Amino acid sequence: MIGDYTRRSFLDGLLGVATLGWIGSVLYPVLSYLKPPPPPVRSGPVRLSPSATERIEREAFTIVSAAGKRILVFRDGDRNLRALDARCTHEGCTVQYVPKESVVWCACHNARFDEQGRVISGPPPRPLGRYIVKKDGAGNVFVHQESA
Amino acid sequence: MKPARTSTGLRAWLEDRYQLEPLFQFLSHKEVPIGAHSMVWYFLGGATLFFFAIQIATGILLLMYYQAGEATSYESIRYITTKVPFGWLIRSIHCWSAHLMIVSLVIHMFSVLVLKAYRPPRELTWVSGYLLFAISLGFGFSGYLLPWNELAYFATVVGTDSVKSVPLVGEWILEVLRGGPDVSIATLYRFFALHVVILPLAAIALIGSHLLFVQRQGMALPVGSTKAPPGMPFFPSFAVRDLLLWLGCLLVLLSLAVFVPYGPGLPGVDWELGVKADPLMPAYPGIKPEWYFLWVYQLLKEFPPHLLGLEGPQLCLLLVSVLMVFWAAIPWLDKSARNNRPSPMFTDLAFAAAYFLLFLTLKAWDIGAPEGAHDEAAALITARWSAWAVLAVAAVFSAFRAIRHGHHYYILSLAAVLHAFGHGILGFSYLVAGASTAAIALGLALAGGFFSSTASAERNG
Amino acid sequence: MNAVPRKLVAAVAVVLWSVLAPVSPARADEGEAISTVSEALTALIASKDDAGRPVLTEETREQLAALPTRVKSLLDDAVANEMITSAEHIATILGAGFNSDKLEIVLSDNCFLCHTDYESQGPDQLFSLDPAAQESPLHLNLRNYASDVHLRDGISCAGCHGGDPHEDMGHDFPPSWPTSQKRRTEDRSWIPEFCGGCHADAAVMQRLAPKLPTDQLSKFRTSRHGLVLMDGKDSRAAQCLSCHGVHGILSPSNPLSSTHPTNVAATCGTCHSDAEVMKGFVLADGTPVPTDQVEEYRGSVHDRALMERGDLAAATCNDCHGGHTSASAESGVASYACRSCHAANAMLFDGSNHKDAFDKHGWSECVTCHGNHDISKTSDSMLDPSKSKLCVSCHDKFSTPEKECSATAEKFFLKIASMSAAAEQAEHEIERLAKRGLDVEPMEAGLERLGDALKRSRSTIHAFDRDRFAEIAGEGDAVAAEMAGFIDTAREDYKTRRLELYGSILMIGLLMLLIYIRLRAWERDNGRPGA
Repeated sequence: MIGDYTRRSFLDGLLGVATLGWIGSVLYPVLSYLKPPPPPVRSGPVRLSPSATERIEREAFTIVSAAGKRILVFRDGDRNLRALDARCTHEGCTVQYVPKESVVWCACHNARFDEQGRVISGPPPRPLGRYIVKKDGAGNVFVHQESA
Repeated sequence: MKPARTSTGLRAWLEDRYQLEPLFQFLSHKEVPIGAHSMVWYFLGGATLFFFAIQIATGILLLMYYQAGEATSYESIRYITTKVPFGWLIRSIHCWSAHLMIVSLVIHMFSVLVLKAYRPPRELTWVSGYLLFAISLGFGFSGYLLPWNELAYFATVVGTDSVKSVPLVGEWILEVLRGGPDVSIATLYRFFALHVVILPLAAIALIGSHLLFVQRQGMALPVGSTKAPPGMPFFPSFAVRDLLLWLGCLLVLLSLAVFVPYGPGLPGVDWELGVKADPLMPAYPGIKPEWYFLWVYQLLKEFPPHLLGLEGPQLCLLLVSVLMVFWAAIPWLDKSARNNRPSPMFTDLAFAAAYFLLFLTLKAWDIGAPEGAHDEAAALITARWSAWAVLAVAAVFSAFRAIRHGHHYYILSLAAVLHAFGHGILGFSYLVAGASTAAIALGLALAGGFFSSTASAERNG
Repeated sequence: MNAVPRKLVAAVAVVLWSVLAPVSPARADEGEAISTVSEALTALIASKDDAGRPVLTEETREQLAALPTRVKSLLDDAVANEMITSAEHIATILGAGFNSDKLEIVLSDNCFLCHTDYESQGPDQLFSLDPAAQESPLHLNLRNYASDVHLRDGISCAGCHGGDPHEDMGHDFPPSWPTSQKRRTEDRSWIPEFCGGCHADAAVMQRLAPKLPTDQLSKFRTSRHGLVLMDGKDSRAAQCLSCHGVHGILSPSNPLSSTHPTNVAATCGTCHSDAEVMKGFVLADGTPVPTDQVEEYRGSVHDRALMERGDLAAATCNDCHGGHTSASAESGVASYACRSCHAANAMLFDGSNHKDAFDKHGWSECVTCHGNHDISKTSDSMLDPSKSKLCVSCHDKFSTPEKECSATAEKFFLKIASMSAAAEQAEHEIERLAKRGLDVEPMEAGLERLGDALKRSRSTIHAFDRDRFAEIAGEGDAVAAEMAGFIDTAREDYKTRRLELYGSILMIGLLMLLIYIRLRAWERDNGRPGA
């Protein structure tokens, strides 16, 4: 009788524990779901790494990756910083800046864009997208991820 | 039976205020008949209710992140499935549960039909269940558009377009449904309102009355019996078994959501997000509605542009409407069952309807056709495959019915099978095969009617 | 079942319409416009044929009513001058599909007015709407003129054929117009200069089409076609009309034009694929000019870019051979043509040690390895020493077969093959992970970067320099490593998902078991049977 009783209460206890465990296993994903993930970095401007900034000074341009996009950052003929989509609108090759000619050049099919991304010559059907780029007092370069 | 306990604590506190004792009494005395037929059939309504509850819960969770709008619908669903923790799980469960709810609802309905559980006094239970089925289809149709992806967009264009063949008010319904002449973001807003407010309110009200009817009247007894067989207590025996089934369903849902997150990939059972909808993109071949609409979709295809002085789609929708009204009126039309006598014809009708729907659905699924082919030749191959499949299914079911249950009335299911045979294998057009088998079935029914009606009363159940 | 309500609705609609319609602005406008038309024209419009049916269809009459007032008054004038005397004549002119601007030109041009009139013209001198007219040289399809570039600038028949379109009849041909039948049909050498009369005249072109160049004639004179035609007096050679057409000339930007990039190969092929036409023409080295170029070009990488992807910048005949400057492609010419698009590869080649060797032997830089008309998509297997004899075929013959060279080629091949395999595998893996519902966005971005690095590595081959290649290929390796990291993370994620699922299954299973045991215990205690 006693044995039966303790067995029964043990069973009840186990049932309670399992129920609590089950509730936990339901609540865990639901509560994780309810907490919104941190806002994606894409909203703010991206700061260029010192090596990228240095490359701009040395070679007049660099290509950075931001929010899954390749962005060309360069100093134009008037020494202003500019940022353009580095993906050529023709076949998607990565473009480069040619300081001697002050043009953006795509090596794949010899396409040329002006410093604002407009097509000068070659096959691209559309101009390159433009991005805002700024430099602060400390020499940090920021690329804003909204199209300009 | 233990005598009612003296109420203490919370129960007494509630009793003082709400006088719940009769309810507890009712629940503790309520019994579910056992041994009448397989118990399985009594649990299907509960399973459907569970899937509906899951829909409400996951639906509320999805609403926390979903943003209806041209530039946000697709993006927010994408965000949910890729970035929100367990977002993929919530969406996948919502989708799977939607489909499983329809599956259990359909089986529930067919079991009620075969067991004749709609006999008086349960006509309104049948009708409320019928309306709940319609609402579930509405849930599916409106929810399909909400991710605003390409597939859903075109399926909605095609799906809403068919209402314009309704005489007189067709155009009006079309515009009200779409919120304009074309499917646009305005349609999405309407479908959103329908999906998260209007249909849930209607469903909850109807489920309430459906459950109330079932609780008041209890489970239906087998045809012919007047005395309740021994039963099991509703509480806890039946209710806890229900709970076990629900836990099992949850287990299945979780496994499906993890291993097959976007559905089995059959046409109409696939919810991979794909490409965002663009109303300016041309449509592509192979656009299908969800699987439970495929039979109407296919039936519309079977009708020629003009027939009997009407437009094909009009005639088709007329036929579908007649069938729907007939289906709703079954509790009144089935005279034998009304008198608590076996009604083999309506038993066979359930199977005939299942074969009819199966044939159309398989045809719409393009089974057997070469990948990506949408021409006449592929349609013929599909029709042949579908017909063989229907023949095989019917053979298995009929053998089971004959051996296990001793059924002997097969005229209607024979007609459905003959129809598939005539169309898919002999190569008659769908309508010609349909009309001729309908005529044969009518002849057989008239000829054998009087002798089978007397004979069947003795054996069938 | 709905017949009665339907009729009722129709009746109501008719009543409403008749009440509302007269005051609607569209109707009022139309009434006013018609009132400006002369009685003679109104009578023509209303005229009926022998069977008593109106000659002009409902559609034509609507079109007429919608014409701007200035066009209507021109029509009035034509009727008043008896240039138009029948309703059929009106139907012919309106049926061509001219817009109102062009109709204005047509209606003020007596050439059109007379030559569209069945009553005054023999079938040989008639513009007609008959589709068969398109083929006949004497019997012209009026519809073609609706889209002609010259008509757009107000140059109609008289622009070439001379005469004064405002005079009643008779006209003089311009002095350069051929007088003999021979010059009309056999000797075509007068045509370039005739067209050049305007197109080479900067003053004229400045006025009519300032954007167009005026050097076509001077270029043509120096071209193969020009030399054969004008110096050799061989009228098989192409002149202006051969490519641009005659009546109904379309701008090259019009997709229907024979000079639109997508149609150029076919246009050139009309002569160059015809062995009969090309008989007797030889190349500089004395071999007959081949006639299979267009056939070879079809299916080439350029043809597919142009025809399948619609990349109008992709090379077709004139991009390498010139249009008005057409010349046969001597080997040197061909590589300069390639350079105009494939500049980076050409520059890399220039800096390579192959450059001198190719120059010494006079080999074409690009064509030697890549071919010309049938140039297909470059394949990595070109570098594979075990499959391709590309390198060996020259190195064996003209240079000592250096081990170093083969080793370099093999190094290039192996590196590119491994990168390409990595990209392919990553793509496959991404697809699998996406199917399992994992977030593949960062991987897709990585895959794009990997593809880019692969493209640049392939391009760097043209420098035939191990170090340069290694630098670019190194970037690809870095991206591939990053991708592998993403893929591993996603795989881990999936593993976690499955573990969590197994945990839940265990938990739920245990709970179900305990509940069931508890239920059976209750049922035993209470003597109640289960199912």
